[in-house]
Amino acid sequence: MIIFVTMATGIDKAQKDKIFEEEFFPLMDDLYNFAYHLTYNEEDANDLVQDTFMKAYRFIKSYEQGTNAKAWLFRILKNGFINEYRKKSKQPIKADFEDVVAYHDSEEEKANDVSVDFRQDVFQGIIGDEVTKAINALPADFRLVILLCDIEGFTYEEISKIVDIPIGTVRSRLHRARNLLKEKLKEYAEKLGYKENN
Amino acid sequence: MPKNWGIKKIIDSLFGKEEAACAGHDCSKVAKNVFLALDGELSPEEEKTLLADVEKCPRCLEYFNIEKAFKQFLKERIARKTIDKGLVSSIKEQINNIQAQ
Repeated sequence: MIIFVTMATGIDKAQKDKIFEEEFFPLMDDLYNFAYHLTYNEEDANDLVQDTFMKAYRFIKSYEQGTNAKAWLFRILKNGFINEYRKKSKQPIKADFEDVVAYHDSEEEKANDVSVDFRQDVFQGIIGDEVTKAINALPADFRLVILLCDIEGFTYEEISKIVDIPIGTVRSRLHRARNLLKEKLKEYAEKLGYKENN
Repeated sequence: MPKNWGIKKIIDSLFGKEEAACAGHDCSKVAKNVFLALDGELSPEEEKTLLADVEKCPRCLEYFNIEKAFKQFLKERIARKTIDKGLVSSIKEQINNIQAQ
C-alpha cells in the first residue's frame, strides 16, 4: 500500500474537515498512547499530539485521502519526538544514542539472543510500570521499533516508512531492541527470584 | 562465527547439544522465521509451513512458545493510555479556528 503520496491539487475546507473528522481525529488515542510511551511524560505527550495535529493540518496536501492515516500521523509524531529528543540530547554528557544504534544495527547477525522464559510465574509479578520503565530505558530508536511493532502492531513495511529506515534494518533493530529489553526485564526478574533454566 | 550462532546457542541451551541435530530440519532457519511469523510478516502459506515445521520439532516448538510468550507479556503489561478529553476539544478547536481564518 502506498502511504505517502503528494497530491497535485489543493484541498478545500470541506475535504479537510472530512479528513480530520473521519480519518485523523479517531486516531487521537493511538497517537497519545504512542507519544506517552515515547516520552513517559503526560505533558510532553500532550504537546507532541497537539504539535502532530497542527503539522498534519499544515502538510495536509501531502496526505492522500483514504490511505494509511495512522502511519502518516505516526510518522509526523515520530519526527516531532526525534527533533525534541535531539535538542535535549545535545548536552555533552549524554551518550550519542545514534552511534549506539548504528553499532547495534551492524551487529545483528553476530548478536547472541537473550533467552528468557516469560511463562515463568516470576514474570507475573512484574507490573506494567516496570515494563514501561524498561522500554523507556532503551535508546530512543530501539524504543520506537518496539512500540510500533509490539504495541501498535504496524507491519515492518509501515515501520520502515514511519522511521525512515530500510525493512532489513527494521528487522535487525527489532531483534536487538527485544534482546536489550529482555536483558533489562531479566535483571528485574532476577531480583524477584528468576533463575535461568529452572 | 556462524550466522545464527545466537539462536543455535539458545536451542542448545534449552535441549542439550546431543539433541541439536534434527533429521531433515534446520532448527536455526525455523527459529529465524519464528520472529517473522509472530510479527505477522509471513504469507499464510509460509506461516503454515513454519508452523508444521515447528510442531514436528520439540526444540523449535519450545523456542516458538517462549518468543510468543514474550510478545504476549509486552502486550498485556503495557496499558494503553487514553487522551484527555480537554485536549481533544482543544485540538479540534484549534484546527477549526485555523480553517476558519
